[in-house]
Amino acid sequence: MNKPTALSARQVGKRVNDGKTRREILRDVNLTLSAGEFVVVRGASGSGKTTLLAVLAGLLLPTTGEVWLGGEPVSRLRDHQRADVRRKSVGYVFQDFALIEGMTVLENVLLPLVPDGRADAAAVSRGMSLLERFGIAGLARSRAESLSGGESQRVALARARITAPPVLLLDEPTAHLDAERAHGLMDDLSVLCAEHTGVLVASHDPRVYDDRRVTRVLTIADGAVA
Amino acid sequence: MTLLEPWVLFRLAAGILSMLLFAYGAWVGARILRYAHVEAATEGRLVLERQFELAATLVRVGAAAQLSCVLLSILAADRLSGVIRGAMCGYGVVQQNVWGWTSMSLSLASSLAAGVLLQLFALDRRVRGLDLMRPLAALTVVMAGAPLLDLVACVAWLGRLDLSATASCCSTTLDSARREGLAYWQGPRIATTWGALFCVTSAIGAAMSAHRQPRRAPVTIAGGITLVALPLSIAAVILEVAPHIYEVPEHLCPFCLFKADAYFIGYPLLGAVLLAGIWGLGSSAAASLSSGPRVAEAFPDFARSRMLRQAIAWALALVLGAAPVAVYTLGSRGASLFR
Repeated sequence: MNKPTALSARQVGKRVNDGKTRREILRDVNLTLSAGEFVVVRGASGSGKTTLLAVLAGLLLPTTGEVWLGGEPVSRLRDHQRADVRRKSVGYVFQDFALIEGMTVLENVLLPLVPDGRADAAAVSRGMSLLERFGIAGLARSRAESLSGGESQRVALARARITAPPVLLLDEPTAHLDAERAHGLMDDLSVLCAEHTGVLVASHDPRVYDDRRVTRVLTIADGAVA
Repeated sequence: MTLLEPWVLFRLAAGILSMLLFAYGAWVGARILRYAHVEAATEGRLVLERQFELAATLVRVGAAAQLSCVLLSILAADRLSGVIRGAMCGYGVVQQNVWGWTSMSLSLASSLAAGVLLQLFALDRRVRGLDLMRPLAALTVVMAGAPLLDLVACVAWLGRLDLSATASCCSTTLDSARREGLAYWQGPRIATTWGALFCVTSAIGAAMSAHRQPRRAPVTIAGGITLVALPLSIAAVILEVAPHIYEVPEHLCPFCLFKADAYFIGYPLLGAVLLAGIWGLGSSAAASLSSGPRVAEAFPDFARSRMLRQAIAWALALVLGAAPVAVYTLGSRGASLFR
């Protein structure tokens, strides 16, 4: 039986003006991510991986084409509607984790629930169980700036999972991790896939794209995905 | 030098802002109508859609500015009455040259139209997609001339005011009104008052019914009743409420209702009538555009909130309009003002 499509990109292109010239960062990208699928987009630095992830997440708008998330053309929704879909449908782990310094680990994890007014006691309980799942429950009251790279990465993953989104996007998630931590992360991601979450990872790390649990590996070069 | 009066400046600034923003909206609207055949999700279409988003935001600001124009016109007339000899209220200022009533009528009509357009943009914000892009672009193009006409008439009125001349105000009409026969007004006054009462209470009932069942038909019916109730209620304010406030049966001046000795009742009373009209007619116009599935999905929540607001505004207008009549009736122990 075919799995439902969680995310799709149709003829997506992205051009930017850098003053005098127009640069084409993405070209005619067609991509589908099904529920429970584990897809890796590999490519060299500057190939367009981060831009692709940002466009797929609705953080950036494409210049051409459409991105569909949860059955909606997210790239053609209004800002407030796109933010709404993004909060509910996508978990995003940034390359630099983008944790808010000055806030505790638990507060960072609960952050995506704040705009909807859902950061209540039940959310705290869910946040704690996610931190336990990723083995960092003891750090719940620690401030984000006091964490190591591996700890920050797991906090970012817990934050991306707090709304239980059907799609999880990760940008170079193993860049700050040693071999053991990287393997642990792949274990976590494969468990999430087994729970029907569609996972898409942008990485140029062979520890990620050579992992046997990955369903598909796509290659991006000069903005084109093959 | 009337143009240097603060309220005149505010009025002209609001008119210019509205005209410029509508002009930009109309330019984008014309492009949308011209290029809307372009295939979806192509670069040109996406650029057009984003321009529409920006233009829609600016037109909403322009519409809000236009909506304020009628209030600012009244305020300007009221304030200028203090510097024009013989003008006891805004009536004397509006009456002073031929453009006064034209400007006031255009301000009222364009403010009402801008308010209705604001409602359509409010519905558009709720739609998950740009299904209303073309109708709104067409309406913006059609509407763009109204702020311009209103501004021209307003500049002609305010710019030609003669501060050295003695104005003829509403008070000078009282004696002639008595001479020409007060009885002439009694038929229209009674019919208007009862008609307004009937229509406003019907509008409240229809709005509450549509609030509970926010479908196209009940909302359209509520809008139809509002269309009749709006002019009738304004006429009833002039023919019934104003005389009771001043306890003079011939005192049919709406501008005196904006003065301190009338407790500024004109602002909330006519403001409530205008808002009720905007919400009623705006919802009705929105109902006519809600045939597509995504617009139809967004319409019930929109209609529910607007119908409730409309009912509250009509109820407020009814209470405020009835209060002076009730106060007079109690004070006179039931004697009629018009006997």
